[in-house]
Amino acid sequence: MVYKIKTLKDGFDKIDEIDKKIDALFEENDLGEITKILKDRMLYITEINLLTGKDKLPAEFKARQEKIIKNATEMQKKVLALKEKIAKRIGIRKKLKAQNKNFAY
Amino acid sequence: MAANVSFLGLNSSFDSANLVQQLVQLETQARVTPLQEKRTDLRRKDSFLDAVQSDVETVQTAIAYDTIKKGEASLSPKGVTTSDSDNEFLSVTADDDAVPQTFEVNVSKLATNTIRKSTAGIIVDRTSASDIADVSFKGGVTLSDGDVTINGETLNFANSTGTVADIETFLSGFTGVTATFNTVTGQFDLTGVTSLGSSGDDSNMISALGLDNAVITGGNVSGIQNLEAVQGNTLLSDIGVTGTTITINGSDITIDTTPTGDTLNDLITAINNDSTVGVAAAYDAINGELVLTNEATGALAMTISGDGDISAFNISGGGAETLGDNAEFSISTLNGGATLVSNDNSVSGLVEGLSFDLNKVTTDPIRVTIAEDPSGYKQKLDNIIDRVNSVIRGLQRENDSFSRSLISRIKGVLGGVVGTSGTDTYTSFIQVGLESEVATDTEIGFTGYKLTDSVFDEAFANAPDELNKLLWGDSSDPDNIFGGLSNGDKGILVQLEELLDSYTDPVNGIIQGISDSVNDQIQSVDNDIIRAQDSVQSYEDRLTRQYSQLDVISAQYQQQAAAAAAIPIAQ
Repeated sequence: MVYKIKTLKDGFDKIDEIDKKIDALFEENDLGEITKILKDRMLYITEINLLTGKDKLPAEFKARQEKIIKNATEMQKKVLALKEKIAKRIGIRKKLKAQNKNFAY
Repeated sequence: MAANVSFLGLNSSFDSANLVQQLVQLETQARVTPLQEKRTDLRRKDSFLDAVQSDVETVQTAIAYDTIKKGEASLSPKGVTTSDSDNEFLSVTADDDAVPQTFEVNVSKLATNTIRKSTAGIIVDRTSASDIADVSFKGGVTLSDGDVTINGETLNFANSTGTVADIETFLSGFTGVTATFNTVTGQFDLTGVTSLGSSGDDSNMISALGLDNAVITGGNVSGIQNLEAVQGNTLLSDIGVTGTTITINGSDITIDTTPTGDTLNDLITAINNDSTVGVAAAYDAINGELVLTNEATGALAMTISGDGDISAFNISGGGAETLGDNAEFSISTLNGGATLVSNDNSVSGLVEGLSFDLNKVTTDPIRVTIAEDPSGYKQKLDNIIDRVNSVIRGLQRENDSFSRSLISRIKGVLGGVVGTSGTDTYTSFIQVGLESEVATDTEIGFTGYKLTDSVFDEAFANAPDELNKLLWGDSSDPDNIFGGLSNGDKGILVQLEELLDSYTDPVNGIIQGISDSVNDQIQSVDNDIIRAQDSVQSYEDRLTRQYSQLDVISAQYQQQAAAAAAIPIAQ
């Protein structure tokens, strides 16, 4: 089997690179592209797991592993926050609508 | 909106589908709802215009200018009073042309209808030997077996398939009773009879012979039914009628005298359904007589002929006809009070403007008085004014520029001054009793009009022709019988009619023009709504796609966090 990552470090580096890209894409609201490159991120995590094999991930990668997990959680929070923001906006619009029937959106 | 299956929100604590639905709802409210509200308002306005058109047309109908101006409709019919207040003997009606006067009327004879009927029954000779099945019983029934009671004695008849002689024998079987079939009259003659029938009888014999409708005199009774008379369903061919046409009073009735053709009843129906004949036909199946009655009254002869043999009807000879009477009456002021004759009980043309209906021969002279009466005129004007008020009330409720303009124009006409003061007797509607600005609906602050009776009565009594000029005059219209005002102004109701017509004209009317515009706007808004709905649909599709992506991203991160956490790490 040919891996896309050469070493564990290479895998973590590629994931870091993807996370940076996703941050930018999220700002641009390019959800389609995020969905695409998230597949690569999953691939790298899988290959890191495969490269580790029956051994354990060296302790030096502990922080980077935690960072991957943390980033995933943060991104989930961002998605949630975006939805909350929209939901809040709906609430505001409904209130305005009730106040002024002719409110122009 | 989209009917695709969606998995929105499955991977988050948020209900993305609900979120999208609410966003779409807001978008719909923002873009589609105002258009729908606008369309509703336009449709309401269109309905309002329809209502105005209808209301204004009812005013025009009430004015009826085209018939009034030609004198075809009565404007001020004279009042009629008679000593026969219930119109038992005489009804008198007067129109505008009648002259106030008093006279007496006597009715000595009423007009009646000429009747022509068979001088002898339309029959087929029968004897005692004739089969019961061949004779005609009352009502066309078939004679039935069963109990028959005469003089309280009950016997059972069981020979309904026998001959007429069997009936004679049976009836003569009652104690003291003799029964004979009379071949001259076709009836059954019984002697020794005191009572006929019982509620327990189950044979129809007494009724079928017409004994139940006959008077018993000195023990003798003859059934009214002529057993030789043919029934209404008898074919014309069976009684010897031939040809294809019967002509009555000059009008042809087509008949079918073939063996499967018309019956007597068919002929009756054909005569009665032909309005040109002017005759009512009937068939007396008791006596077998055809009866024709002229629909017109008076001593008018009735003619009847056929292109074949119609002698079987026994109706062609002079003896068959009883001429109707002409009405005879007198009017004290006419022709020296001499007796007058009329074919019809409805009489007109003798006294100008008056029509008489002679209802009954009088016992005393009926005194008739014709007098001026403004009540009919007032009633007409009140009707017009009521309808104008109704139009104004509807317009005031709407209170838009169109409504305010029409109200203003109506008030301008009704309250306007026409003619020349000092030359024309009347120059305004108000001068002859129109009272304006009368509050009749405080809820909407409605003000309308009414006619003050006393003022109108005085104006009518003083100068009725001048009053007509004020309201109906138009010297520019050769059909107008009222003349015109001195300066050529048109009468006030003429002006009102013209104003209203400019609104209700089906082609060039103002209401039609506005209605066309409103309908164009409705069409335009309909198109805008379709576009807005398409736009909202696109918006929904876009939102659904975006939220699906968010949910997918969230799920992917969840999965990746789990996968990363599953990699064991050395301590």
